[in-house]
Amino acid sequence: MIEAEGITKRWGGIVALDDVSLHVPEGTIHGLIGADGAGKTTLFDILVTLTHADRGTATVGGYDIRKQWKDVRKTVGYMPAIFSLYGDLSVRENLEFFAHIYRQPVQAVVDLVGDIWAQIEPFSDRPASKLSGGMKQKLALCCAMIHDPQVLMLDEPTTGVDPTSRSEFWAALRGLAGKGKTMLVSTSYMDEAAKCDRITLIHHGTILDELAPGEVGEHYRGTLYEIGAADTALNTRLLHLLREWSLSGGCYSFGDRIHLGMTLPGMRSETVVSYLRGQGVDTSLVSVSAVRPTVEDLFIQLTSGAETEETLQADSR
Amino acid sequence: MEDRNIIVQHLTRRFGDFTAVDDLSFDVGRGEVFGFLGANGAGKTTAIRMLCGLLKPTSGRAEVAGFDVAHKPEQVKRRIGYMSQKFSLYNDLTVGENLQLFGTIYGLKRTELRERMAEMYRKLEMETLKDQLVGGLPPGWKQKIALSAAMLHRPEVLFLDEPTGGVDPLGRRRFWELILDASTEGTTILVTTHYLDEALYCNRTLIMADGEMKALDKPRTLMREYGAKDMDDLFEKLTRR
Amino acid sequence: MRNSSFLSFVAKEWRHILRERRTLAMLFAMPLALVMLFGYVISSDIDHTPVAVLDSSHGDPLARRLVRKLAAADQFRIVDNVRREADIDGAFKKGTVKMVIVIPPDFGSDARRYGGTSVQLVTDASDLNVATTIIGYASGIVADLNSELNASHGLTGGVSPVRTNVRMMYNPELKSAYMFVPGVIALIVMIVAAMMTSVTLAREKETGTLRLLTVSPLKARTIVLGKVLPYFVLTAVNTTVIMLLGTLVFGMPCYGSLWGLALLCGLFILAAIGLGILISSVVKTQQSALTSSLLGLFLPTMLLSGFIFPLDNMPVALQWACQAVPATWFIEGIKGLMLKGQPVSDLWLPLAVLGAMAAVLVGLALWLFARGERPRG
Repeated sequence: MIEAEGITKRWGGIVALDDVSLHVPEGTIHGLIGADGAGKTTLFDILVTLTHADRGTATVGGYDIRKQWKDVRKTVGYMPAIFSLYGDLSVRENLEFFAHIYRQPVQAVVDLVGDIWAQIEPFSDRPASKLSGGMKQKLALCCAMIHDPQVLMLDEPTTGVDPTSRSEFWAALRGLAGKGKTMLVSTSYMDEAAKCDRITLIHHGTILDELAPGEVGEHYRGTLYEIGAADTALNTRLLHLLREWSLSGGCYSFGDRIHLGMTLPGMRSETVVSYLRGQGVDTSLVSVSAVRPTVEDLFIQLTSGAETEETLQADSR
Repeated sequence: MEDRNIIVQHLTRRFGDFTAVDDLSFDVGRGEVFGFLGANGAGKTTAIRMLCGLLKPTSGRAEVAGFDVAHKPEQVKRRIGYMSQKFSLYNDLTVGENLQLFGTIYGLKRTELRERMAEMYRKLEMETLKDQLVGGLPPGWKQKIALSAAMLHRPEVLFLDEPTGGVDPLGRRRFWELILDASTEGTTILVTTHYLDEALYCNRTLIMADGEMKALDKPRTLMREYGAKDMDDLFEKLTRR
Repeated sequence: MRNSSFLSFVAKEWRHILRERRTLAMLFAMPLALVMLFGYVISSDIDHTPVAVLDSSHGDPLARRLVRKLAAADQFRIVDNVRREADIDGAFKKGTVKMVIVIPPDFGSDARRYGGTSVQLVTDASDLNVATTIIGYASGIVADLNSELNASHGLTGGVSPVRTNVRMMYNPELKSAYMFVPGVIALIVMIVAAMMTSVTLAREKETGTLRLLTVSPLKARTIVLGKVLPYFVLTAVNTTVIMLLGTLVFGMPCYGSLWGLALLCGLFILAAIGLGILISSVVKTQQSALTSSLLGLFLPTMLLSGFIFPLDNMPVALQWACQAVPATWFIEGIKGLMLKGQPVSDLWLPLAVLGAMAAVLVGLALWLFARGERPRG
């Protein structure tokens, strides 16, 4: 339903998107995962036809974004990154307004997203600005759904929303996918990747990787070890020691644990333990085990690689 | 010297009929990283505003950095730092101008300020950025500079309100390392976050729902106690009614 | 229903306006503040004003009846120091008389004839406020006399046996404190129409709602016209309030055609709204919309419209600049209509210029928004 090929966009001298491609089949949820400033919003602007790409082609619902932008807009339901409803209008007034401009009966949204609407209906007389973050996003989703679009483009719908409301929101999206809607959802919460059918990792306008959440293990280079220390002081010491280790392929704290990537073949957790023992650490206070990498670990591995390249380029100048 | 830097006893705040914070009691030790979790509207913000001396408690009391928040808010404000994702820095000022501004607000002397700024630049390796406008920097850098600005006056207690929203994973990790550094130097840190995995960086976490404290302990202890597979699971178990 | 999205847009705009209570209150408090201000500037203290009667009919009964009526009014005190036409100038200069009522010969007999007669009301217009006020009273007394005459002849209204004929001396351009009113109306129209329109549109940009509207089937012209209509109505109501206060409370005259006045105000408001939309199309935030309106509209309206500084005294280059300011033409038109009583046909130029400005500005706004509807490059 969404096919983008080689999308490139510059703002002034800055490359916002560099050769970005996406393929989202019908009825699936595709996650666009990256931090603020990665180019997610620019890509949305291009796909909902607010902005032209400098290069590249894309179709949404079979319509060309350049030639058939009017049809694209009819096919797409769009939720911008910032809360974009009228704060001084009530929940119901917002919904009615969008229903009117899309020339749809208000009842239509109840038929389409009855379960989400049911959650906000008790607040229908409250001004939209007085809703909680999660409620606001649900209302925005209802407004985006009002014309029964085939494709939903949701730009950071869960940013600033508390964890409980986030999981409710994702449940609602899953329900819509079940009804055959296609969704492109951007997020800066790496853990939300698991809720998508496929994900694209994006950083500084370039695509790092494209995979299904279950494939993280295969895409991760080498093995990931989780190292736990008995106390914070030891944890800090281990972090410094492991960073200095020549065999370390990236090491960072992960909550109260340390994650250590090992890219060389033939490594085992005993290798780590013996290194630490060699550095004078009482390894009985340390646990080392190989763990399944998360999307976050993969993202860190891919971005720290990119960063090294950047540093190299900067040095060679 | 008192080893508890935040003392909260039966802290309650009502707005009309609505009880935003209901009988909250906890202590935070010096140098501790204390996580404050809860859904929107659970009462986190109200509690933090009371602890910063911005809002008077309806009943109960709280002491921050040795001073009562209701009776000596000025003393409290001088000894705390505050940073939030929403408002932190002026985008149209340079990094140096922002730091200078916040240093001056907290009454740092000129030489003192200059020294601390130089130290900050060294530590964060941002010597080259000091004349750049904050607005043009990537979010990860903004966050670090905002944290620096909040710490220029060496506060005893640092309040961080969702400090890492929108920052990439690597940036978040670096940011947390700065926070942990500060705590090893004795700064007490109270942090709220929507990234539940970040709770694992904290020595202890308090989980709030509907204005009440639902649990308070080391994150891993809580996970064991409630049979949760991760923080998300724990949060769900504690906040879902 | 084809227009339902337009109506819905207008309804939404009204809700924004009505819910922003503080701004709305300010909009209507402004004219009231104006009343206070003018209360100090204009003192309409008309009591026992000395007036003289130059009676050329030599004791005609009807003339005596008119003089008795004048003398009976509290506002007037009949003095007897103008005997000939030549005395008028001296009496005005000494300030012993504020108005001279000139009664023509054959006053009584002409009044009974078809076509009637007229009295001339000569005033010292250097104090225009007093002059217009006493003319108002004197005209009232003459009207009273007319209805008495008609009643005694069994006629109903409509015919005026005695007409009044006003002559203002010493101030042919009729400069007065009232001259402030058109300028202030121009300023308020700029605030309500231009500034508010640009700020509300900038708000839609800032909060991102404009993006949603752009990707929706809503036409750009619906958005523009949906903004124009509510703010047009709001500004028109506001302007009417000021006009009513000016005329009813301060006795500001309105000699000219009300339809002409409505047309003039309507065109000016449209031009102002057009300017507001243009500003909002270049700015990104409400803050900069506010600043731009202030610098780009407010100051020229105040300084380059003849409101504060007379146009005649300006360097030629600035005079040219003044011609480009809509308020210049608006103020000229208002003065002509309200204060000088010029017929609408005399004011074709200000009306035409304002009409052209309104058409071009609103047209440009429509074009810019229609262009913005397409994907950007």
